[in-house]
Amino acid sequence: MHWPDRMTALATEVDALFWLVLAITGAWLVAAEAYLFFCLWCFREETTLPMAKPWHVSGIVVALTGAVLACDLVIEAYSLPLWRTMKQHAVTPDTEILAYAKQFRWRFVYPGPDGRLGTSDDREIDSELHVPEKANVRLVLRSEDVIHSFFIPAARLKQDVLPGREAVVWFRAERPGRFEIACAELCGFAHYTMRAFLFVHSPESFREWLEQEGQISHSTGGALVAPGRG
Amino acid sequence: MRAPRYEPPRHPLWRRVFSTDHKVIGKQYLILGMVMAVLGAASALVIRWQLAFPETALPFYGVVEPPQYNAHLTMHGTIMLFFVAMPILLGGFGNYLIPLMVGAHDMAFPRLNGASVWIFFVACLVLVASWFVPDGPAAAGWTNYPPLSAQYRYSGVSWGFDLWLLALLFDFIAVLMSGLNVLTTSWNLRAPGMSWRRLPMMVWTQCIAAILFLLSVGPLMGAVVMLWFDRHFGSGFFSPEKLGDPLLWQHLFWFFGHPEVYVILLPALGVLTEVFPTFARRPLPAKGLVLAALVVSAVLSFLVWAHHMFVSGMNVRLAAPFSLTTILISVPFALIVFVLLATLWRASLRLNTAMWFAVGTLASFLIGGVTGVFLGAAALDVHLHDTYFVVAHFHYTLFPSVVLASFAGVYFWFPKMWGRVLDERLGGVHFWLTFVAFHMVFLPLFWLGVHGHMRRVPSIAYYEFLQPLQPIHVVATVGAFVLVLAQVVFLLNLAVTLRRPGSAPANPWDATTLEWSVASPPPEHNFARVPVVVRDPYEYVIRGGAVEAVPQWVRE
Amino acid sequence: MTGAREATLPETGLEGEVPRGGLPGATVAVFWFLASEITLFGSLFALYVLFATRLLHWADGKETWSHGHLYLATVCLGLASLGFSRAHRNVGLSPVAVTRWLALGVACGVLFLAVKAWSVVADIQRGLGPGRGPFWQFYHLLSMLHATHVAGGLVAALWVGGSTMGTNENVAAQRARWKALLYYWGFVDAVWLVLLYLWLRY
Repeated sequence: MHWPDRMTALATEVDALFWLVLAITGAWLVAAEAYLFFCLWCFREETTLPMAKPWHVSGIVVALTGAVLACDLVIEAYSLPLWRTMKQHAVTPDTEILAYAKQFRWRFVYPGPDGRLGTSDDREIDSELHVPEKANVRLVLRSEDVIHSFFIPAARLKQDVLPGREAVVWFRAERPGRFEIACAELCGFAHYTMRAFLFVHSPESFREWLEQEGQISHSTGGALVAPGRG
Repeated sequence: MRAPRYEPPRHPLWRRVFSTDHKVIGKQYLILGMVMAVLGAASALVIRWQLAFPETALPFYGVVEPPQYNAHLTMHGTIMLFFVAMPILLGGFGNYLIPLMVGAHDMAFPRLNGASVWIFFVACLVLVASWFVPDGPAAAGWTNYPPLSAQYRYSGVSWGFDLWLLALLFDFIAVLMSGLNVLTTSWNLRAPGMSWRRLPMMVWTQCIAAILFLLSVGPLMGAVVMLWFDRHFGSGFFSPEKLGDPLLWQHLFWFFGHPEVYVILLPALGVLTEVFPTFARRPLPAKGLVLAALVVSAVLSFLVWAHHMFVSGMNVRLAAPFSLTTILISVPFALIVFVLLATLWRASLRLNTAMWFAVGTLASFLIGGVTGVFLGAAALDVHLHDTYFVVAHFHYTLFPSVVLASFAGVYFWFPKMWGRVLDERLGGVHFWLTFVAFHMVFLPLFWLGVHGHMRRVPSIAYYEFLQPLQPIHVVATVGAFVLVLAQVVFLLNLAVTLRRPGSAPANPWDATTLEWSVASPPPEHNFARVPVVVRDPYEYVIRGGAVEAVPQWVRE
Repeated sequence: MTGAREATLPETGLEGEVPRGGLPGATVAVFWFLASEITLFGSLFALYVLFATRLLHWADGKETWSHGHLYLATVCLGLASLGFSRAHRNVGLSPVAVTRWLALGVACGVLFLAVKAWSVVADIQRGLGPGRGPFWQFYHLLSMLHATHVAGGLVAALWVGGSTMGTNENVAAQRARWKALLYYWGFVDAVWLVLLYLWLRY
């Protein structure tokens, strides 16, 4: 059994947080279960003498509860900054793509040769998201009917897509490859078919794709890159 | 003892069926809840079959079509939460035990009580009827988010949603009526000497659960009517085209939905706090701390709801406060867990079936509790939301609360309710099969969730990254079938036990609370004379080298 | 088995049902019931104000709304509450008066419902149904919910009246039930007044 694929640096950080929480909660869990097992094993009516003195545990219980609180705060201290980076950080995008969700497929709209969205040369592709590696990709998500959810497991990225509202996600793929995109919010009877592919290209492979799709204009020398760069 | 204000009906059938005796009503709730559990479990088996063996015909059912799959998962969740958990824990145990435990002859409003169980019964009928209407039952998940649930063109379901809304409304009204009874009875009908301090923990947890329910259900009732308006009267509360917002449903739903899980958990904790001291043969330590923790967690439960909505599109700045409150709510529950664990230290444990179920509840709930921490950390929730990690987490909290704790309660109070002790050998088989099978089903699901396996999909055929995980579905499904079959052992136990003559003593477990002072089963008005309470519950002393209970009504 | 002894309960000489909490049962129950209702209506009031102050097209269609019937409805509701209040005053003193005031209260309540029903039908006929706009969906939702509570209150009034008529039950207990009914009607009135304010102000 292998660990799920990682495609971005943030995915690595999310996994690190996962291991931290697992270590902390796992320690408490193992200790509690071991204690429980010990008590069941050792303190049976048939095998022990009953305890004569009254039972005062408030001090221990409060101390342990305080330790739990401390662990919780440690976890929050790592989780909150990571959330801010994932969701609140206004990253400078190298590429901006529109994604439309509609029962039951994803549609991606690329800026086309002029490098700008919302113009007549925008290219629309069904179920395929093509991005270059090591570039900040900004995705603007819209739904045309019900609530969907844009989920890239390899990027540990998820965002619900609502009608009447725009949602923005960003990611930066660190290595080329083919990854899957799923819909993670029940959107109807064919929700389970709403799969798209994410293609992360190396620079050469990306140029090839752009040419193939007619998205490159020889005057600008490279589309899908913000004006003034490349 | 003063006779009730009204005359009970004369005709024997009417008296039996439309009873106002809290003991009969409590049993009616228990039985209705268990019958609905069979339906909910059947849907679960359909779900598990499809996941393990997609496109294969399930015997007696056929091939599971995707729209049916969605209907089954919706009905499974709805039934288990609203038609099994609440009736058994609140209506069943609450109604049966509270008057007995406080020393009253019945609930404060016996006719209201009778009405509540019948309204609940109607709610069950309405929900079951939704299977038989054109286009089938509601199929957008037990959470039924609009716009999917608001418009036929998106869901393909028509009457099913409306019957779901109506069933919920009736169910909530029944629980509300029950809650009013619980609170009034506990406030007013306590026997002399039964101060708030001396109240058994079961009564405390039922009261706090009732208050939680009363104060949280309003917004969802409003939302249910709003969805009904959107569906039929052209309004647009949840439709962006009409200046509404789908997120509004989610906020209203989860504002109720989160306190709701504590409405279910608290009576389960109540069962544990009754069973643990009795079979550990020692008092429950630090009762005051436990009560304080319960109150703190009840208050906090109103402040955590948006942890279900971190990636929903709500303002991302809200994630921090809700993540904080969510993580914090683990603190009072940790305290309660520590107190329960402390009960066992140097105890004289009697490990019968009721105690095994109670210990099993705690052992399993620990896993549910810690996995909640993963989900409360917003940055982790981004990946884990709407995956099987969530499914495993809530089954690890709800199954112990609803099933294991309920069985602990059933085995514990069966002698009181039916005058016989359930067979211990069959009980042991029942427990171990249930416990092991439960872990077999749900433990592997965490691994699925870590991989990003989405919820509510009937088949992973479309996803390459999930293909290696298919064997886990088979393991979980085998476990699910064993789990359901294990309950046959319980039915067998019922059949065997009920055949025997009813000869259980008043206090077979040597417990300390008032219900054990009357015969098993109790006479019609519970107490022949008004009981007087002289001490706290759960007192035990050592006499002649053995532990003996000192019940609440015994003067030394 | 140890501890299986049957302990006997000592005689106490206490008679009757002593409310330990010091309050009549009906009062405790109605308090908690109203607490629950407050969260229902409170959340809807909050949503109303939120939508009203945020949306540009909130009040579409309100210009053509004739709301004079609201004042008539208010009078009916007030008279209904007055009727029940007077009935409560006469409990234990004059059963005939109780019946008369109860009848007045119920009749005014039914009149309130009739006025509301008529106005809703008139609105819908003029295209001012729930689908007309944001104000209208809230107006009809709140009207319907409030009317349901008025209807429920009338059923409760009849039940309270019926259950206290012709019995020789403790007068204090009867009065407690009527008092609980009055609390409920006070709540229904308060909700109506808030609704009036919201509908006319926003």
